[in-house]
Amino acid sequence: MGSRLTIACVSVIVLLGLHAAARSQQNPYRLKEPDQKKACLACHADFEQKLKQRFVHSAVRTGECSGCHDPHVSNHGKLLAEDTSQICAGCHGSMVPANAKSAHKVVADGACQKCHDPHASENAANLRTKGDDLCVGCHKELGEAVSKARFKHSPVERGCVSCHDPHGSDQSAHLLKKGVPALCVNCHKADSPAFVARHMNYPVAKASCTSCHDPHGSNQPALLLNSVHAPVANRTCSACHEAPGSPTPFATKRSGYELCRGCHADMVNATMAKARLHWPVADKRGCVNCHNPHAAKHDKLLEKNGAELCRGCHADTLKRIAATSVKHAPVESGTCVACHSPHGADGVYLIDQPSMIQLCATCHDYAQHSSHPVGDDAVDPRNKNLRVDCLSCHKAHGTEFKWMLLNATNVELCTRCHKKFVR
Amino acid sequence: MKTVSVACLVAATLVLGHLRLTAAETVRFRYLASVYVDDKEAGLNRPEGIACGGGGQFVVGDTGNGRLLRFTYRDKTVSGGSEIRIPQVPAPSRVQLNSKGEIYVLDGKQRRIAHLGPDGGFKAVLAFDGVPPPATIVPKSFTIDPADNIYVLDVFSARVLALNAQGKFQRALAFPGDAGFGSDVAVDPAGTIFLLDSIKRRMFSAEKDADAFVPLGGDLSAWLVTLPSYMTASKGVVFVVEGGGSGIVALGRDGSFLSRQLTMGGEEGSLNHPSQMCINDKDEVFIADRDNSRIQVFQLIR
Repeated sequence: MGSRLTIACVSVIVLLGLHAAARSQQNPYRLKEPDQKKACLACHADFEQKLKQRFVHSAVRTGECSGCHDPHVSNHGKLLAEDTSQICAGCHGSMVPANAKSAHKVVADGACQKCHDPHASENAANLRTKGDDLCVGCHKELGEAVSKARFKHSPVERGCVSCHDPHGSDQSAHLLKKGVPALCVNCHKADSPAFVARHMNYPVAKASCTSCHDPHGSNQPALLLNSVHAPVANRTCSACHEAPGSPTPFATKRSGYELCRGCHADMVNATMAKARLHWPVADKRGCVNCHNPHAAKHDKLLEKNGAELCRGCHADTLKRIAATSVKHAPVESGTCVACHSPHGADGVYLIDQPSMIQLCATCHDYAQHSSHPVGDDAVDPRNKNLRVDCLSCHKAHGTEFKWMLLNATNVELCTRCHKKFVR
Repeated sequence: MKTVSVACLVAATLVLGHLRLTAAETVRFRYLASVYVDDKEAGLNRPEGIACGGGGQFVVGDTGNGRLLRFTYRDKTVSGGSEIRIPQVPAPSRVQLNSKGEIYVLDGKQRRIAHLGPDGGFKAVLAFDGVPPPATIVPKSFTIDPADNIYVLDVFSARVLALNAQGKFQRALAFPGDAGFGSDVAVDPAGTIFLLDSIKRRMFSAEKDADAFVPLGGDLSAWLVTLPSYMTASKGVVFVVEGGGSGIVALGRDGSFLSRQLTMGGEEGSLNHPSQMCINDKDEVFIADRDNSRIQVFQLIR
């Protein structure tokens, strides 16, 4: 009875197999080469070498080219089944953590292939280049600073991923695996006597280490940021802050610019004597609106360089400038302070020259430029309270016309004032 | 016939109601006049301050010339222009008048507020009696309510100081913790104080006797394109001056956008970096048109 049943089962299986084989033979769309991988490689022979690399994407290794590519048609480049920004997420999901406090822009944009080779690579995780070379490929300025730094931070030498998660972080800004100072005190024992002594007994374990130290390396000892405020360099924290043992050790002894006036009296007094202040100088934060009171990457303890610093409040002006095709050279280089005094001035627009003409003359020789009357004796025919000056024809930041003129043609420009010649 | 009459009445009511609603939502300026010179035909030089009083009086802070000028606008004619020049105020940047016609003027150079009599004679510098520490006070702006209380925007301590008519401290309102930069203060007849945050393009208000500012409306960056710097309140409308944008943005008392008026230019009716503005009891608007070195007068149409 048992053997009969076995024979019957085998027969059924054989018959089904024969039937399937027959169906397959009759299928007009069957692959000539049943092995999908071989079928693709028949044409894409250059992939043979690629697949010999050390790390091969699992989908490629198993020959599932159609996992990502549609072999027939597609609305996306390279016959991808989805847009490049979407296709990886099909298997890998979002690499940015939920509730992320920071996300790598390329990850958020779905540009995974900027770092990973979707087919194969000699580097783990299919990275296009090895370790930090990949990071500094984009973060060039930082890479150069790290390589040139006299004093290195050992985690940086071990690699960027020592501190950063390259995809995103739900712990901190800047893709940090933990916030500052939690990340720092993982290695630096804040309660050690040496650490406490070097920080003048101030409880810095709860402070922001990066307000003084550059975690990527520095030319200053103790990895201090390159531009160091003298009281920090001299370890005279109590020049500005209350005593380390006080209930509020980080509180400053005075507010706003009054604190800075203690040492920088000449500068602060000169600023306060101006008819027009750059108002952040006099607000509750005062000087630290622009300057870091401890240390900074940029000269003069500036938080950011050039126009990037100004952008914090004057983004609308920089947006308008960006839209102009002909820009004033200092504007183009982000040197706003070439014309505007950053603390205060007697003139409007924080211009510390008696007139606009004198401001322009600090770089331009008007006598070599034009013979058109300008200055106190050249009354603007449109308004007798105004005088003809450089801004009667030019716009200081830039325009869409050559030489930053206000109009495209001389006729249009001149007839702004000389209206009798309007045709 | 009766049905038709009722229908017509309903339709008329609806139409008139709609027109009234539209009128309430619309604020427009109609150009009236410009002022270029004083009574001796001397030109204005980058005026930044202006204050409106009764009977068509207005006082100009002629900043570039370091003086005040007193004019009257009546029957569509500007008259006067007599000079008030006092050594205590070398750079008059903002001006306000109280109900008695006394002049208060903020000196931009010394950053203090001078109190002058109605005749322009110097009386005193505002002493901030009883104001809590710190002693340093940096007034960026100030305003006066109908009861002559004075509200000073002290940027140094990020607060608005309310003083009585005698200059004695009444209360302080701290800027909200998340404010960007408090740029100006205004007060309406009901005693509501408005605070303009120029960096984050927001408004805050504090009802009379409130001890803190609360947000008024939402983000105004769609309407306030450039850094707004001046503000005044009149009959339920808050007017914000955009210096760089050379326009005036009208906001409802709830912070909602009503309209944007005027554009940049040198022609009469246009502005070039306006600064302070004021509105009198006849809804006549006076604007210190700084970079055109003139005062412009408009009729406010509500």
